[in-house]
Amino acid sequence: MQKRAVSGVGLGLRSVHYDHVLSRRPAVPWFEVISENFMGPRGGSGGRPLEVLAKVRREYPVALHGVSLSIGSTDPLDFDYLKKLESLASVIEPWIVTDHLCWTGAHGKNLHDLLPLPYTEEAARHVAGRIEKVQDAIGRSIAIENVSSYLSYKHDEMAEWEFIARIVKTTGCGVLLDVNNIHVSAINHGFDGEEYLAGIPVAAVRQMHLAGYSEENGFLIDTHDHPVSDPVWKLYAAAVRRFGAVPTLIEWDEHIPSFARLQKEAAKAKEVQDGVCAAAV
Amino acid sequence: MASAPPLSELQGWLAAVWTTREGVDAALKSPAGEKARRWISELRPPSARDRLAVYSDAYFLRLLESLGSEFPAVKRALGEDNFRKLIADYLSRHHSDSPNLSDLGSKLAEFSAAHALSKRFPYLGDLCRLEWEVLSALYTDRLPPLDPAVFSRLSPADWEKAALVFDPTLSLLEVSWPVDRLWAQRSSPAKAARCVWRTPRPGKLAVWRDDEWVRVESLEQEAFLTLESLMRGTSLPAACAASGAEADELKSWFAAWAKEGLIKGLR
Ligand SMILES: [Fe+2]
Repeated sequence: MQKRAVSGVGLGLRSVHYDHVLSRRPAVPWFEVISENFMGPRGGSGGRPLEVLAKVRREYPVALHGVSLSIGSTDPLDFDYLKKLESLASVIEPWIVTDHLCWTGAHGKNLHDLLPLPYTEEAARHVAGRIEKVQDAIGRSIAIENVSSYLSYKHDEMAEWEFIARIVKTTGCGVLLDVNNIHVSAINHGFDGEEYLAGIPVAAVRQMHLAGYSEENGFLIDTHDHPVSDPVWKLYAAAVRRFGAVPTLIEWDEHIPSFARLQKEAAKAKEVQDGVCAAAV
Repeated sequence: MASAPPLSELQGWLAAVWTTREGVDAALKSPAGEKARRWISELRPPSARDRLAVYSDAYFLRLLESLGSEFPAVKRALGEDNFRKLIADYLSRHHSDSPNLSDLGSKLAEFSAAHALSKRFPYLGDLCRLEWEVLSALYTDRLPPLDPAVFSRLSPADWEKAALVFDPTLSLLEVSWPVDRLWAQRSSPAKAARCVWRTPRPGKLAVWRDDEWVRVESLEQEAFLTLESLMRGTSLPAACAASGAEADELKSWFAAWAKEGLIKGLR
């Protein structure tokens, strides 16, 4: 398994496309997978999904993207989970390990959702301490992703981007900047997406996400079931101007279209990257 | 304004609100709901209630969808409405306590067998048990293929003590209803699903994983008992002698088990 420098626009690897990817070897610079799908339940292991992923990994670089780290929860860190993550990473040798800046459950209940944190000093200290423990446990640095949110708290002490910048400064972790999530939260909470970008430390951004959202009852909801929207393409161009052409992923998890349609969306993102970079030159 | 709650308390209130079966409005009348609502910003519409509802609504639907994808034959056999009722009742008793959603169904078989729906669908517990075994086989690593040379290396004395090593994905299941048929139909249209057996028809099943996917096959009583005994570590000669089967029959079982990749070595 060769280590390659990763760039360009990758795709999320979903089971409906396993056969296509393994038999046709489409031209995709890298894939992102959901880490938990390859860990198995308690007492289990990677099994069949990991057999498939190992084959994909022989041909492509892979990013491990988790949904269950629950870095913001006040429950103790789950070291069995971290051991499984560490072991998966040692098999797959991902080019990056990421998860979300959120909590997924508390008081022993896992809600399996990306729940928003209050942006307070207390929460920033709490998250930073846990990121350091996670990085120690898995022996790798991680990047944290901003989530879409539908509520904020009265006792917030700073903006979301200031919260992220503070955690990056304390821990040295990377940022997976989800441009769609910034737009969704900007509309839901009334902030300016470009101001958000300006608050994120440039050197910390290791990867970006693009996805589509839905509109329901006055909210934008991060459903990953549509093409990337025009305002998100615009914000993405601004992000590329600030952070450069960092590896970017098209997330499409519901009503998953054909592989060719995903590639078309990726090509559009690459065009934005190339256009911004050419203009800069 | 009162001083801000510690993060742990806030998360406890919110988790209680979002997992309330009766929905967000009922949850907001509880002490935890009242406390949580106080800390949700209402600087701009929608209201705190509507903002909390986004997470409440998504909670049940997400877990229902996940269990539906892991128990497709159960969902198909019960129909959407009954499946939804079963899962709502299940989640009231068993919340997820694992980072992996696949763990959520670990107690569904036991729960279903005692659920009111199992009066109308008496095979419900068996079918859940089978689908849980299928999921377990999917997430178990296989051993490398059998090396036939291990047999020729055995001395006659070793043969007396030799026991077979089986693939770790293999499990055996005794069922009271022929639920393997429902499992085989899990992806076909639901209208054919209403098969109701009036009396139990006990059966023996083997579940394992091959190169492609998980396999479920029905076994004859004698083959099942011999396989079960071998899997417990009984030596080959002892298991064969106890089976009472003819040599030809034994040979055909072993040939089939080896061909299917169930036998992985000798101990
Ligand atoms: Fe994302």
